[in-house]
Formats: sequence, structure tokens, C-alpha cells
Amino acid sequence: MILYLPEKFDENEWTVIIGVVLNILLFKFLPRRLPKEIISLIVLLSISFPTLLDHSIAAKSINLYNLNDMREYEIFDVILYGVYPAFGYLFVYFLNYWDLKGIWVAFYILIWCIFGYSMDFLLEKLHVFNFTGWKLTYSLPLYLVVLSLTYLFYKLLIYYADKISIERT
Amino acid sequence: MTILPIITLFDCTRVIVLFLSWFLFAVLLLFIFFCSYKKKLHIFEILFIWMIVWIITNSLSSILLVNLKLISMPNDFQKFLNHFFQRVLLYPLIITIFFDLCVRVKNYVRQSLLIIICIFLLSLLENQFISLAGLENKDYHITDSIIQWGLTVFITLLLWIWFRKKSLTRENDDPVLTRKI
Repeated sequence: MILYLPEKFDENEWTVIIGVVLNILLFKFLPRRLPKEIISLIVLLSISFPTLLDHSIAAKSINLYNLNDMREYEIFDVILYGVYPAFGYLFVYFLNYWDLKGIWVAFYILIWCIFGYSMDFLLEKLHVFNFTGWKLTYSLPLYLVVLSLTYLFYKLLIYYADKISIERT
Repeated sequence: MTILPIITLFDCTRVIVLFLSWFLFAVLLLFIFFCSYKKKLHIFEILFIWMIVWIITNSLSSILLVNLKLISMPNDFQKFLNHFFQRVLLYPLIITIFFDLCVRVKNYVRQSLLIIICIFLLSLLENQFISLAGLENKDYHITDSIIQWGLTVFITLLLWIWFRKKSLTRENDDPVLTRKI
């Protein structure tokens, strides 16, 4: 089978659906502060980082965790990608809103790391993530790396977006 | 007489490992070359294509490896690393280079030809990697590979055109971002 259906439709499937709905509402109603191209790239980054991890460390050969009901790749694993963008987008959104600089960026990243850690804890309890070798404590340094990279990525995008506006004028 | 097959087996493994190391070296060299030459694609387009290819190749790779079981991953960390680098660096790099060439070429026939060459090159590379035992072939044919890469390149192409038209073109007088594909 190309994509498996869930074994039973329970809390993890409902969590994924609620997550996707919240993402849609967020992108629909949150006032836009960033250019369209930057939002697209941040959304893509928020999907591609977890995708890379899910298909590498959660893959069959290493298998540190499983997503949803099965070890196999199922349809709700694909829908789960729709849950991730809000995390990256809100991270960048508030960074832009408060215009944080210097040490405040480090504090901001640290707060988001704790938030990510709590989300992992919640998603594990709801059986969206099923840890087989992964430990929740690993999530904290992982979020530190991923959020720092997201911050650098955002800075790069802002730099090039500014460059384009200068070229225009 | 008994030593001979052991030596052959040892040599064979050494040749494969050597090849895979050179393969990684070549990928890095290609990446440096890509970073250094002047591209027609905007940096936002490159990042967009790169991440789209990541998402599609990883998903399709999992479908082939785990769900359809057409190929399987050996429990060898170096081979896993090779496979990982291919998905993270090589495949997006090749697709981005070909899309950059497509922007340079104005003729639609030539652009289509470039896309077809890209699909065949990716299929060929993947099959080469499988035949060198980077991945174990269970029931994987060249046609599966062509379908896989055709799908990947086609979806990426459509999304890239959408991104170029909807997100990057904002004003008609913009010389940087309103180039025709």
C-alpha cells in the first residue's frame, strides 16, 4: 500500500486534525507582518526540518520514534506536516513583532525551546509521537539547534528582502 | 585457494567504500561549484526548490523503503549516511541546477528536453547507487525510478512556477523578479 490508513481513529488523529485547523485559522486571521515570499519560505522550512528528521532518525534503520499508530508511513503522517508551520511562523512572527536584538534573542529562543519541549511532551501523551529510543530530554538541544537555524534563516531572508527593496528604489 | 575469495570480497568492499567516499567528495565539489557560479535563479527560488525537493524525496523514499518495500536500507551507517547526503544535497542540487538552466534557455522545447534529461539523470544516479549496494534492491525497476523522479521534478516545477509568479512578482517594473521563465 502506498499510504496506510490509521489502525483506529483515536486521540492522535483528532490531535492532528485540530492542529491543521488551528494552522488554517492562524494563517487566515493573524494580521500579516512579513512579505509573502518570506512567509512561504518559513512555512516550508517548518515542514522540511521535521520531514528530514522524521525520515532519518525515525526511519526503519535507526527508528528512534514512530509517528501515529504504525511504523509504516500512513496518511496521517502526511497530514501531520500541516501541523508544523504554525510553530515556525509564530516564532518568526513574534521575533519580528517585538524586534528583538542581542541577548533578548537568546532568551526568546530559550522560551521557544521550552515551548517546543512541552509540545513534544503533549504530543507524546496523545500518541502522535511514540518514542522507541528517543528521550524527551533530547528534544531540548534539538530545538535549540533548529530554532537557532530558523533565526539565521529568517535573518538571511530579511537581508535579501531588504536588498530587493533597495534595488527597486 | 581459500584465501582468494576472501581477498576478492575484501577488495570488492574496499572498492565500494572508496567509490562512495569519492561520490561524497564529488557531491561536495558540485555543491561548491554551484555556490560559486552566477545563477539566474533568485536565492528565494533556490531555497524554495531545495526545501520542496527535501519534502518530496523524503516522503517518496519512505514510501518506497517502508510501505512498498521495493528497496531496503542496509544496517550500515556509512551507506545510510550516503543515502542521507544524497537526499539532502545531491538530488536538490541537480534539480536546482537544471531549473537554473531552464531559466537561461528561452525555447520551450529545450526547456522540456532539459527537464526530461534531469529526470533520467536522477533515475540513472539512483540506480547506480542501488547497483553499488548503497541500497538493497528488492523489486525496484528503472521504470519505478523514472516515475518517482518524474513525479518529484514535475511537482517541484509546478510549485516553483507558482512561487515565481505569485510570491516573487509583486510589481511589473521589478527588474529582478519579473523575468519570464
